[in-house]
Amino acid sequence: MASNAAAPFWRAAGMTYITYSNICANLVRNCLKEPHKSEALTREKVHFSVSKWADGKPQKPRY
Amino acid sequence: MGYLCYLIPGLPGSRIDAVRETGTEMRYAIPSGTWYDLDRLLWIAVAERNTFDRNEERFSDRFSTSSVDMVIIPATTGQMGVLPGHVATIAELKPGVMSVHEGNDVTKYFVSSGFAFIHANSYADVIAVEAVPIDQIDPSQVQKGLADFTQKLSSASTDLEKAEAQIGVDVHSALNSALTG
Repeated sequence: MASNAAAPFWRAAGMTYITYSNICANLVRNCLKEPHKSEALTREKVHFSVSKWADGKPQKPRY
Repeated sequence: MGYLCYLIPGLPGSRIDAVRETGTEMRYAIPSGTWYDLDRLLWIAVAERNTFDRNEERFSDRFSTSSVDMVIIPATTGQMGVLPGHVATIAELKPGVMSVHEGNDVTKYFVSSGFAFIHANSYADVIAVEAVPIDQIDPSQVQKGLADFTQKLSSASTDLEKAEAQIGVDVHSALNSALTG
């Protein structure tokens, strides 16, 4: 098991593991050959909606 | 501020209340196998599996459960060979080649990053966001990416830019070795 002594460079720069892992995955997806690449790009999509809450009620969603 | 987010693939209608933060509620609807941005201490690994959900596309089963003789995984501490009877280990993976040996057949996959959990009963789970057979990688894109990121690395100013450029260089170098190795 690795010791905690030296944090990985991305952690030292303030990046979380998830961000690091997603960046790696995106880079790999961009290097794929054609039919696989388009399928892979659909995997990248994230749909989300964000609404701020005030007084216990959601306000208009931003997205 | 602690966030916990768990996606259970295969449940009908995978819209999940992902994160609750004071003042903001965020809802995510995503295909399975995607990682969430979370507080740095918590993460959930999601293995890419068959998902049957009427709202979403069906993904091909990339990691079947099978019995093999040996798996060589690209751990951050180096290439690790896992045989039946291996001591229970958790290994963080770096971008690299994972080779699955079954008799005389070797299948190689490029793994973008992830973890390998080796259990005491000769079961091992390898969890990665992206794992592609080597022949699906395009060499010209790899060379281009490597050149781009090497250049970005030399011109990066902030810590974050340097880290991103370094990640780019690492991943593309690993892809390159995968193609030539």
